[in-house]
Amino acid sequence: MAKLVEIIGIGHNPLMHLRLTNSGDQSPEVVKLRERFGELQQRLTDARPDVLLCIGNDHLNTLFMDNMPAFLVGKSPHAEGPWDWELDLGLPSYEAPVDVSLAKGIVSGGFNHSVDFAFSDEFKIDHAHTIPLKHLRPQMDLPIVPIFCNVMAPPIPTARRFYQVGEALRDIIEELPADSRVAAVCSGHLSVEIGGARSTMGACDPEFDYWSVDMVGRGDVEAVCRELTFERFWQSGNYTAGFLTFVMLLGLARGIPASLYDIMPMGPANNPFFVWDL
Amino acid sequence: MSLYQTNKAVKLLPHNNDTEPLRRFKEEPEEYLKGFDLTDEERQGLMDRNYAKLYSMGVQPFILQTFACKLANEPLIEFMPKYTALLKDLGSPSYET
Ligand SMILES: [Fe+2]
Repeated sequence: MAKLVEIIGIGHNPLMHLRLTNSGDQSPEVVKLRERFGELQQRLTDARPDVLLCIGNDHLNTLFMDNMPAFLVGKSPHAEGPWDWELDLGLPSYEAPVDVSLAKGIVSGGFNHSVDFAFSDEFKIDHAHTIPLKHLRPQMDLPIVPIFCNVMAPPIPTARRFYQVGEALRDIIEELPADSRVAAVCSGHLSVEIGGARSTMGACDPEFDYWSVDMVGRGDVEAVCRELTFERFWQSGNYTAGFLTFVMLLGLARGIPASLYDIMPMGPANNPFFVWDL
Repeated sequence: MSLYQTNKAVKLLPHNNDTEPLRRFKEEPEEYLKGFDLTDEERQGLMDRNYAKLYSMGVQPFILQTFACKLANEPLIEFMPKYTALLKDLGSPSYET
């Protein structure tokens, strides 16, 4: 039976990536963040995964309102990205084979767990996938299965639905006959306003950031599902609903408290971290 | 309002590895926009590159910003403050289509 062995969630703020990879930037907060990523890479290695389930969103690149899935599994044999406009910003590229058998197993298994995943045989991953992959598994030596969640085009699924789909993914993986060890890596947002009147380079609502990370990290499932409504996200920035991928991680962890959860500020942004060692 | 069509006309410029829509919008915008089912107001907003207006109509801010930046042909980090200043009194209009 397949096994989920590790869950790691980080942010995908482009500025975080740009500062981390600017070798001339040796300010203490950047050095600390590089150390954190070194630790996370080691934790992932220690978990000895065979495949990475990579949970993120699509930034209206591959998926658009002509045909918007709530949750989609990428199952083409090969995944790569990001898009040219993201490369122009200095965002990282990544490519990996897709574990097609696991991808199909997730779609099929979903039907027994009340989740009808969409799937795609033609997609690109964007920076929501390439940033966590690049910073957590720079070796690019493992197959992946990308999951795309709609957090940008309302109506988007509720926090409870993200939690349920996370729980279902855990059950589905554990019911698969293959003997593989699966690690989940994920990216999401804290409070953020993009292209709007309240846009800043930094945290939009630091109070929201600490409150929401704490709620998920402590495993307070009922509060998470009750409090994290679209309206509440909206109050803290126009694309803050990108936090919901972390709620899916809580579902994958079956609601237990995270082994590690915190925010590491690195000017101008707040950077979230969640780890569940299983 | 054909908000979806407006979003589509916007999205195809920056969020696309095919640069043909960008070229067409720059060189023959009226022709490019004929490919979308737009109201006169939406068409005019796009022709005028009136970002404040398009934002108020509910175009997805994420793609509107990359669209504006692509047309300005400036690095996003330098362009962003200028773009945000255009929107400063406009609040947070819903972008649900
Ligand atoms: Fe994002």
